[in-house]
Amino acid sequence: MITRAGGNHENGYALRIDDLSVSAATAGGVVDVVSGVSFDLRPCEITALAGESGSGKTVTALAVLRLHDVRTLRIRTGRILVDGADMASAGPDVLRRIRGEKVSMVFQEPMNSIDPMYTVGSAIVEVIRAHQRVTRRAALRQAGELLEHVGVPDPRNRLGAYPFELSGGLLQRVMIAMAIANQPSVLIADEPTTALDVTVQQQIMQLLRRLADEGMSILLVTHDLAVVSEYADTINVMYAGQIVESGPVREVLSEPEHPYTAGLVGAVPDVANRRLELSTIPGRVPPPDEFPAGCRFAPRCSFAEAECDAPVAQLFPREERRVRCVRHAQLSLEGVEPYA
Amino acid sequence: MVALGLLALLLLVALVADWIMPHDPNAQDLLGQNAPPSATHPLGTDDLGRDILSRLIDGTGVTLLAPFIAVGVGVLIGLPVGMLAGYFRGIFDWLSTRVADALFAVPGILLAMAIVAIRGPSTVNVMIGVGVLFAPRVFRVIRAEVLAIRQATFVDAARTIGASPMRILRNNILPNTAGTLIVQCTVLLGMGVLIEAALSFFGIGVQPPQASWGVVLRRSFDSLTEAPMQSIYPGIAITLLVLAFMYVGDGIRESIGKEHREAGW
Amino acid sequence: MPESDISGVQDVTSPRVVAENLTKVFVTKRNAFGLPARRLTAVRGVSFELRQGEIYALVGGSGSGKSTVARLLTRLEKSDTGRVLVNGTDWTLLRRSALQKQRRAMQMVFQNPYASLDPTSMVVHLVGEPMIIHEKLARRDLDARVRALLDDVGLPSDSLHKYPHEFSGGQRQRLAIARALAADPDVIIADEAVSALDVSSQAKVLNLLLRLRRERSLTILFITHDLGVVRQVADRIGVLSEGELVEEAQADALFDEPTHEYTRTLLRSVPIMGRWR
Repeated sequence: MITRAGGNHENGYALRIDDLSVSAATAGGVVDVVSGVSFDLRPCEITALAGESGSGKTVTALAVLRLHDVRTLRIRTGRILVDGADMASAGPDVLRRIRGEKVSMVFQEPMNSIDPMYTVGSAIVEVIRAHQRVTRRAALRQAGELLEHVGVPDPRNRLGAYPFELSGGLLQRVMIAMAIANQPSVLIADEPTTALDVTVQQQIMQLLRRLADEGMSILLVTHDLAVVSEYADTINVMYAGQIVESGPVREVLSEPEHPYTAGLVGAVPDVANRRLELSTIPGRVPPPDEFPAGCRFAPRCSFAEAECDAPVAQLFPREERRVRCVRHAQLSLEGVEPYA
Repeated sequence: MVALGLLALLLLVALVADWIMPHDPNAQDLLGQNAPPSATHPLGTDDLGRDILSRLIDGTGVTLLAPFIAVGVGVLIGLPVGMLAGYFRGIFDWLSTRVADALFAVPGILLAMAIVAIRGPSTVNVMIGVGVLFAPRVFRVIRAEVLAIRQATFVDAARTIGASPMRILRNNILPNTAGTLIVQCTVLLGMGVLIEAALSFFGIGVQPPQASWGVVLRRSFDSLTEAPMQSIYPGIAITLLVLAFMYVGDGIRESIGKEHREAGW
Repeated sequence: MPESDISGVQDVTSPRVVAENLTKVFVTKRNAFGLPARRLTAVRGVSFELRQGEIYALVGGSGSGKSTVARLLTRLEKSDTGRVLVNGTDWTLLRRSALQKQRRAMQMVFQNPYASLDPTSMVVHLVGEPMIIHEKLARRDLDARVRALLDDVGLPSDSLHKYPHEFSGGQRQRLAIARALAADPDVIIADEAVSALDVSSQAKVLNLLLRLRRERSLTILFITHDLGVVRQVADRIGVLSEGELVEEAQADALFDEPTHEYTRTLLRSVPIMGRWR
C-alpha cells in the first residue's frame, strides 16, 4: 500500500519483469519455454522484444498480463512488478484493475481482436465504462476524442462504424484507442504492424512513437529489426526462451556482442543496400524440450568452443548492455552500418 | 478403445458362432417355454422354448452384416456423386442436390415395404434399399467437404503442376475427405443397426427362422407380460452395438481433428 | 516484327512470358436475381514481360492485385481481357488438356507452405508428382530423382517417406520449390514465397532461389510486398497499385529515382536498418 503512490517512477520503471520463467507441460515432462527473462519498461520509451518464432517473445508478452494459455503454460518463477503489484501472483481483483487501467495490449490482427457485432464507438465506451464511473454520453465524447488522438479522420462519424467497414490500418488505430482509453502507463504491442502494408505500418509506428514521447512505456514485440532500428529505444533479443542480448537499439544493432544478434542483422534483407548473398544462420530454433543445457545458441554458432557447453549467465560488457555469450569479448562481430 | 474392443469381440462371436452356441438356436422345447435364466439356459428361453443366448449369438452375424450392406451401398453411390458435384459444381451439382433432397423425404419404411413387395422379403434386398436412403446423407457430407477442400491452396498447387481434375480428385480430394467419410460411416452403421432391428421387428427384414437381434426382440414382444426380461437382452445388445459405432466414430473424429490442426488448415 | 520462329527454335531475345492487357473483374455482390450488383476490378490492363533468366519483382500492397496477376498468368483464374504468352504459346486460347501439358513450363510457389502442400501426401509423391504427370516416370526411377531434387534444395534426401507436417516452415517452402523444379520449368512464380518465414529461413530460401536462377537460368517472377526482399533479388521491378501497373524500371533505377508518386510513398515508408531514431 505504501509503495502505491507512484513509487515506481523513483526507480525509473513503469513495469519491471524480474527473472520470469514460464513452463509448459509436454509429453516429456515440464519444460521452460521462457527462462529467466528480466527487463524494465521505462516511461517515454519503446522497448523492443525481438526474436524469431519459437523464441518465446509472445509468451513473455502475454504472461505480463497473465493472458498466456493457462491450460498449457504456467508462470514458474519471477515477478512482474507494475504499480506496486506483482502480476505474477496477483489475485483476480488486482488483475482486473491492472489490465486496461495500468497495462493494456494491442494485437497483430485487428480484425480478429474486435467484436464484429458492436460499433467502434460502443466498443470504446465499453472499455471506458469498465474502469471509469462516467455516463454513456461522457464516455462517447471521450471515445471521439480518443479516435481523434490516434489520428482517425472524421472521428465523430466513425464512432457509428462497424469493424468490417474500416481498413486494417484504421482498425489498428481503433484498437490502440481502446488500449489507451483508460490512460494506462504501459502499452504492450504484439506485432502490431505485421498484417499491415508498409505505408500503414509507418503511420502506426509513428503513432506509437508519439504515444511514447507523451510519456507512455511501450513494449514492442516484433520480428522486424528494421522497425526496431527506426522506432525503438531499447532492444531485447530473445532466442530459445532467453534474452541473449539487450541494450540501447543503436548500440546493439551496430555493435552486436552476441553471434545470434549479428546473424539476425546479417540476414535482414535491407532496402538500403543490395548484397550478393544474405548471411544465414545454420540449423533452426530448437523446440523447448531440446534446448541445450549450455549456451542455447552454441549448436548453430560458428564461434562455439568447448567453454560454450556450460550454462551462460548474463554478462555486462558495458553500461546498459547485457549479453549471454562467454566469448563476447574475443569476438568482433559485424553490425548495421549507419544509414546515410 | 472399449468400443473398438466390443466391435472386435462381436465380430469374433459372429465368426465362431457355430462352435460357441450352447444349443441349437432353432431347437424348440415346448415344455420349457419362457423359462427363466438357468444353468442350461443362461438367458432363459423364448415362447417356443428356444435358447435365447444361442439365438442372440446366431443372430450376431446378420445383425453386424446388415448395416454394413446398407452403408456400403450408401457410400458406393453417395461418395462419387458427392465428389463430382462438389468439385465440378454446375448443372450436375444442382441436379444431384435436388435428387438427394427428394430422397431425404422418402420414409424408409415405405421404401423397404416397396422393395419387399417387388423382390420379396430378404435381408440383403431390404438393406440395399436402406443403403439407397443413406446415399444422400453421404452425398451431402462429402459434397460440403469437397467444396471446402477445393478452395485449399494445395488444390491450386496441383492444378499449376498440370494435374488433371480426375487426378486431383483421386490424389488430393479423396484422401482429405477420408476422415469425414469414416466418421459419417460409423454414424450410419449405428443407424443401420437400429433400422435393421426395426424392420425385423415389423417382420420385413430378416426372416424367421434365421435369427437377428431384431427378430429376437420381436419374438420377446409376444410374451412381454409373462417374461419381460426376454426383451431386455436383445435391447441391451442393440443399444451397446449402436453406442460402440458412435464412440468409434467420435474417436476417429478426434484423432483426425488433431492431425488437421497440426497440418494447419 | 520478329514473330516466333516457325522451326520451333526459341529466339533467345524473345521474352519467356508476355502478359498483355490483363484485366480481372470480380463480382463481389449479387442481387436477388443472381445478377451482378457490385463489381471489383482487381487487375486493370496490366502488361509486362519476363525476359529469359531475369528476376522480375511485382511489388504492391494488400489489395493491389498482385496475387490476382499470378493467378491470371497461371490460368488458375481466367482473365476478362488480354493474353498470356508463355514461350510464345497463348495460354488463354488453350483447352484444358493442352493447358495441363503446357503448365509444366511455369511453376508456382505459394505464400503459405502450410496450405500449399497436401497434408495427406508423402514427400516422394508431393515432389515426384510433376514427373509422374509429365514424364510418365516409373516408380522405380522416381525415388532417385526426388532424392536428387531434395538434395538440390538442401533438404535431407532420406525424407522421402515423411509428411509435410514433419517439416518447419522454411523446410516446407524448400519442399514446394523442389516440387516446382520437378516439373523442369522455365519460369517460377514466387507469390509472397518468403513472407511467412522468419528472417533466417527467409534468407536461406532467397539464397536458394538466387542459386537456382544462376544454375538453371530460371526466369523468376517474384511477387511481394517486402521492398527489402525486392532490393536483394530483383533485376527489374513493376509496381502495382489498385490493380494498375504504375511504374516499371530497372531495380537500381527504381530505388534511386522513383518516378511515380505511389512508388515514392512506398519507399519513404519502408523502415531502414541503421536509420536510428
